[in-house]
Amino acid sequence: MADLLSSVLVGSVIQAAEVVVAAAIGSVALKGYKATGSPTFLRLSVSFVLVAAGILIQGAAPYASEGFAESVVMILGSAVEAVGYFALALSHFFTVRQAITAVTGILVLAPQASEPALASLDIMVKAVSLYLLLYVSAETLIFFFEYKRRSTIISIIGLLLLTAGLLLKLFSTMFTGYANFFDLIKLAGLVVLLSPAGILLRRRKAVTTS
Amino acid sequence: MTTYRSQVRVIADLLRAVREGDDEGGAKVSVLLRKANMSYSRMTELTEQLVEKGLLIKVPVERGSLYRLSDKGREFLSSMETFERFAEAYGLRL
Repeated sequence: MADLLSSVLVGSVIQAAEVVVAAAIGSVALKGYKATGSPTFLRLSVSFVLVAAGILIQGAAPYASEGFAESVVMILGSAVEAVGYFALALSHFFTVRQAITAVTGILVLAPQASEPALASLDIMVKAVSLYLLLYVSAETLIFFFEYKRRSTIISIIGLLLLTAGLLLKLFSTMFTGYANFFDLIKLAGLVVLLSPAGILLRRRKAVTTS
Repeated sequence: MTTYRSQVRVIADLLRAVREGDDEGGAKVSVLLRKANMSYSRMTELTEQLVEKGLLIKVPVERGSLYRLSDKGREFLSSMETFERFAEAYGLRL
């Protein structure tokens, strides 16, 4: 019982860190929108704020009364997070390769077979997030090949870590006890995604010293 | 492949074109048309707006006028270029 409690507590701390990092990316993107008026930044900001909100709601699930309420809170959180990834996907222009759709289709169907209805719905929503993240990763990769911006590689690594964390969490029913580790991978992905904000910090430093 | 340019990118391209002409005392309309890649009517409208907002300075010369970046325009362009790099890090264009 004590082990379970401390595991839930550690999980909550990791998820709180994820919320902070995702909200920080959203806040930097909002600054970009205010400075340039570009709708790209508005979408980026909305996307990460929704991801932060989704993780926050999912983090509250273990504290809801066990059973139906917990499942509903979890599904709601997953859905909000998925909408966040959808907003991120909207920000990209290029079309995704058919192969990605096929691979994700298999991943969507695989873990659902033996799950009860509500858990299955949660997995389905998470699989949609996974699909959207793969889409965004593919588009970011295409952008990198097209424009050869080295800073884009960092985002690709971040997106892949985020995708890996989400994918592993889909199968966490099979690997019980590893949920916090999978959340750590997700957190690492978000931290890597925050690192391009360093571009703005470097500029502020240059402006201050000049 | 035809690439759609957002209004923000059109403004950034125009300001960059004006900045390039700054060393010669200002950028001519014909040079801006070529470098910013837009129609005459679109550019006239946009330059007027940017002059009104204090980002560009219109310098009358014997035949027509030249455009220069104001301090506010220079700061705006610098900020825009920083955020452009930030967006590119996410595989996005302004």
